[in-house]
Amino acid sequence: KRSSDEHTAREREMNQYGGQQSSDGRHDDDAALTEFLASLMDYTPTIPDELVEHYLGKSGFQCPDVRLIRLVAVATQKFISEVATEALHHCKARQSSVVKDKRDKQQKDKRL
Amino acid sequence: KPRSKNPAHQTQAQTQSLSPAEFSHLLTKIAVAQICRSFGFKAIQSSALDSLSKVGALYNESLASRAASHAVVSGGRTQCNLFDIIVALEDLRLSSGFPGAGDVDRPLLSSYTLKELNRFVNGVDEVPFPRRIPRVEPGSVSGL
Repeated sequence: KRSSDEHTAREREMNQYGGQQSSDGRHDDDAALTEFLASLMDYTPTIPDELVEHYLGKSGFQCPDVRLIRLVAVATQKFISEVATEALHHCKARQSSVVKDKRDKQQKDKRL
Repeated sequence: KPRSKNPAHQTQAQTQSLSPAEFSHLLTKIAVAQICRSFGFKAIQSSALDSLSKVGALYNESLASRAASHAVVSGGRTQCNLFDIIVALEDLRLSSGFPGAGDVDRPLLSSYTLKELNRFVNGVDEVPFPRRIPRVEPGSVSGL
């Protein structure tokens, strides 16, 4: 639950986004953001737009802007890839510890 | 377990129709398998693929429902905008933490979650879905 102060600050920011730029820093941020959103249209997420839209529709999400559909698709792809990468690390760590144990065991046998 | 070589059985499997939920789950599994392969997987157990796909779909739905709620709560809007999505992204990222999470006045447009996504898009090669999925009008019988 957000405080009322934070809510007001956010509202101010939202109003400013559509209006005049108040500082150069903000302008740079917005330019970078616009560029990022545009780059989303060049990047094809692995999860197709139609599939993402199906899940969005199920949850009551409505938005005509395709860039935002892409944003959600990319976020989901990133999430899955993070889980996959972690799982792969665990798998490799598990396999290398098995090999290490076997090697230690063989060395011990030689000593005996 | 040997596959059935009975042609009648195979035909039955081919003509068995999928419910909309099963269909979208199957498509999700294909996408997830592609993502896994692009990150170095050589194989995956089918139960693992199943679970990861379900979790991925749930993540997608969670993003969507949080964004939709925020649109209603913050502006009485029925259509979501970028801010709603950023709030949803941050909500789901809070459990693992991110820089700036504690700053209550942080501007949403400079959210760390967006920067992370930007890095992801710039750093990771595209792995497009193998086929186009036909877009179906909502409300039609054969829709997803």
